[in-house]
Amino acid sequence: MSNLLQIEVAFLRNSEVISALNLQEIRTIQRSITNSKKKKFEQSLALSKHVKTAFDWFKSLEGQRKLSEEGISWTSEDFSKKVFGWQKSFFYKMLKTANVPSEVIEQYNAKADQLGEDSQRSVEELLSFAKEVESGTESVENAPRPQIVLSLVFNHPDGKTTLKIDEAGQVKLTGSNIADAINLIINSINSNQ
Amino acid sequence: MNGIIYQLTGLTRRGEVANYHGKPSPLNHGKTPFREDIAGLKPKQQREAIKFDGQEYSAKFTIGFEIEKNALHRGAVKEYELFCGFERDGSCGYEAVTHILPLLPAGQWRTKVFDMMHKAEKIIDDRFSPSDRRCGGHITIAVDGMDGRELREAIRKNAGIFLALFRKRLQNSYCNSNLRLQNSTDSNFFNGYHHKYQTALVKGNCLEFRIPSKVESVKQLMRRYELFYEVVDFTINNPNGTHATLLKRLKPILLSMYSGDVAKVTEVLKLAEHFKTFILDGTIHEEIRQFI
Repeated sequence: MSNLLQIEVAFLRNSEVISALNLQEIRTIQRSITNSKKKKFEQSLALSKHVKTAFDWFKSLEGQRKLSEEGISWTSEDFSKKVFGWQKSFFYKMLKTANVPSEVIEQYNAKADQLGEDSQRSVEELLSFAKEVESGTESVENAPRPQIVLSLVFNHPDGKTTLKIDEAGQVKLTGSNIADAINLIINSINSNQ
Repeated sequence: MNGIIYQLTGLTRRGEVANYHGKPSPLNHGKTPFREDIAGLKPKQQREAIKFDGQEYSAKFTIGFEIEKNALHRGAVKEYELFCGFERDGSCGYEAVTHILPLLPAGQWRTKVFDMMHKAEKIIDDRFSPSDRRCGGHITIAVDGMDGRELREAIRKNAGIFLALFRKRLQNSYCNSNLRLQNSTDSNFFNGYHHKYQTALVKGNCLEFRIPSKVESVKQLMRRYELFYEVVDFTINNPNGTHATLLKRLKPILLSMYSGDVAKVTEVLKLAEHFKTFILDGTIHEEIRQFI
C-alpha cells in the first residue's frame, strides 16, 4: 500500500469507493490475517523458548541421568523426532530462534509493523534478519534494504560463488571463482549469437 | 520406526504355561539386517560389539534371563516379544524365559531390547507377579567364537562384582558349587563340584550365572543387562584392563541400582575386590567370610 500515489490514496478513502469495493470487510479480514500471522509468529517464538528449555534439560546431567535410568538412548536428532515429531532442520531452526536476542526481535517486529500487511512475519525471516544484524549489514535504525539489481550464483566444482549488486552500487561477493563466472557468461553469450 | 521391529510369533504355546522344560525354544534376537540399529554406535563399539556377514549385523555377545515368580498376574500369561515361553518351576512356582537377546552398548538397538522388557512389565514386576526368596534370576551369556569353558576362564577375574551383588545367594546350594568358577578338573572346587548347581555353569557355548537373585522390576532387569554388558565387553575387549578400571565403569550402574546410595555402592565395590581375590587365589578376606 505504500506504493500508492496520493491521488490513489484519496480515491481509496472515498466512502463510496470503500463501500463498492467492500474495503471495510477486506481490511478487517486482511488485518485478521496479518494478526493471525503475527499471532502465529509470536506463538512460534514462544514455542522456540519452550523447545530450548526442553532441549537444555535433555542435554543436562539430570536429563541424561533420567534417560539412562529409564533405558532410553537418544541422539539430539532422536530427541527432535521422537518428542516433537520434527526433522532436525526445523528443530535446529527453533533452537536458533530461541537464541535470537530480544532487542533483535523487537527491531524485527517494528520493521514488520511498518510494512503492515506486506510483512511476511516468520521464523525464517527473523533468522535472516538476525543474521544481517549480527553481520552488521542491518543498521540499528532499521534503514530500508536497498534493492538488489544484479544477483548471480555460480556453482563451481571448487565451491559456490555468489555476487549481488544493489541499487546503491554495493557489491557483495562470496567465493573465489568470479572470474570463471564472468568468462562463462561471456562465452555463453558469444556462442549463442 | 526404523530398523528391526521385534514382533510376536503367533505361536500359541508361547503364551501358555508349559510343564517343566516344556516351553518352546528361544529365538535368536541377536541379529538385525538394518544398519540403522547400529548406526548410532561409535566406530569402536561397532567393531567390538557387532559382526557383519554381508547380510546381517549380529551382536557378538548375547544374554538370556530366567525370571522366576510365585505367581503370574492374571491375564498376563500371553505371548510377549521378550519371552520364548513360560513353564512351571518346582522350586518357586513359575518361570518366564527370554529369547536370546543381543547384549549391546547403549543405543537404539539396546533401547528396543529394553522396550521388550517394558512391554512385559506385568510378568517382570513384583507388583503384578510376586516373587520371594525361593525365586532366582539366572542369567546366561555367550560370546561369539568362545565356548562356555573359555568364557568362564576369561570372565572369572571380573566376576567378583557378581558375587558381591548377589552375596546373599552364595550359601544357596542350588548355585554355590564351584564358587571360584574354576575349569580345571585338577582343582579343589570350592564348595565341591555339582554337575548343575554351580555359580557359573557351562552349558555348551553358554555360561549360566545361577547366583543372580529374583527379578523384581523392569528397571532392575535393565540395570543387570547394562552391568553384564560392561563386564563381558571389558573381559573380551580389554583383557589386560585392571579391575579398578572395570569397577569405575560399573559404578554409575551400581549407583542407579542402589538409588544413588554412595556408601552402599562403595561397600559393594570393596566386596567385589575381595571376591575377585577369592576367585583368583582362594583368599577369603574377613569381610566376605560371612557370605561364603
